[in-house]
Amino acid sequence: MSAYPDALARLIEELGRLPGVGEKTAERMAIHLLRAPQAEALALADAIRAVKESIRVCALCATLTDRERCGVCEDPARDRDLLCVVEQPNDMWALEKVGAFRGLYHVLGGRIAPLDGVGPEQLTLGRLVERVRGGAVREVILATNPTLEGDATALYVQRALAPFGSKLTRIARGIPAGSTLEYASRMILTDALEGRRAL
Amino acid sequence: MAAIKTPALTVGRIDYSETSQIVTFFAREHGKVKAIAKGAKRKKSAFEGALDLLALNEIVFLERGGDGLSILTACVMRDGFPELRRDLDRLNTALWIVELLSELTVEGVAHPELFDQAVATLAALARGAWHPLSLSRFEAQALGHLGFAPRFAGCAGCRRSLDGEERVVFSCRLGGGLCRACRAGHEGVFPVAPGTLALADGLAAGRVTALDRVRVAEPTLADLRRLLTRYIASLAGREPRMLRYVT
Repeated sequence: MSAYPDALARLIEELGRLPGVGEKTAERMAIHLLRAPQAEALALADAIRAVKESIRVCALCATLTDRERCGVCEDPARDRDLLCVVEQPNDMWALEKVGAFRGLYHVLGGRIAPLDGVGPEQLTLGRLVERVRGGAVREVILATNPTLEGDATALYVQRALAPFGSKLTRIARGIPAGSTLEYASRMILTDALEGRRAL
Repeated sequence: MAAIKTPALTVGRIDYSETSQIVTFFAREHGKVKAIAKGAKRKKSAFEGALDLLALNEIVFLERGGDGLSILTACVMRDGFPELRRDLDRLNTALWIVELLSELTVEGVAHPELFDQAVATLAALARGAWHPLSLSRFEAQALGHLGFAPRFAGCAGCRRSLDGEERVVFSCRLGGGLCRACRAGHEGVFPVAPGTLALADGLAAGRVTALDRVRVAEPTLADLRRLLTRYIASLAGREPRMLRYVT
């Protein structure tokens, strides 16, 4: 039998389900919430409820949004001829933080990993094909992760989009800026040499 | 726990926690090894890209005690077969080889000849030195290394030669072809041409070496692929996941 009152025990149990949160951390969080002003604790509860009730998939690019279409898709200043394909909304948000890309996105919702039972039909590939089939996309940048599954996904998307005439490109890979060749791995060095460009 | 250093192919990995992964290797001297790679998902992981599927690595692990996981302490990539990542068909073929190694081997049982053959086959695939029979040869010989060699020559029922039989059937349960007299009463059998069995026998026994001099008709090739993949699926006990992607 738990020494905690039932409501507190339940809160600790629920917080303990969060990624990276162990039993002791969950206890500390729960005690903190218990001691916090009521408005502060309820604001957290409201935020969780709002996220669960309002977040949905963008009707165009399949990222997460709280409207029919996300802010990027609705932005008239965006280059609508340029499409960047990413695996997850997190990847899109990472690129948006950099602020270097002014086109639109398409979120696949994962990557093809046949050995894990994830096939192309579980991604938003059909919707991507429909977007490109329209013919208004000048270039599609395949920005899936440089892992084996990410590369496989990029190859699959490349094959699916090849008939439509858009320019297909893959994000560059190689040595990160600020690092040194001496400490780069074999794979990174191979990528960097193969992806060299003329000056 | 003793530290063991060995060449190994990465054949599987799953997330274990926020930062760690459980990686399955097919190691030359130790067979299948499951090891926890602590911190593998951290930005500054010591393993970097070496844990990606298909990579040929030099690994160091602390062998598990009892039923516990081994602990991966070092993993240096020797070859990531980057050429395979530029061609979807070749990549799918390589992943089929990985699935075969992962599904048909057991932990702690070494198959050094199979390891060498798998590495050589992946390297040939990466180089483009590939023949329509290359994959079937690997599969047929791999089955032999694993102790699952089917009886391609002679009837699996009466042991008599299948010479002269126009059409025989193959039984996955018996692991061989059946003549007309023996096939009655066997369920789950499928037809196969005697010539296909003879070709599979030659590939498995290593008699067909210079593949570039071999010409095989398309129906025979399709028959051979069906024979080997159905037999492998029966050994695995389920439809292999990569099968639908391998041409």
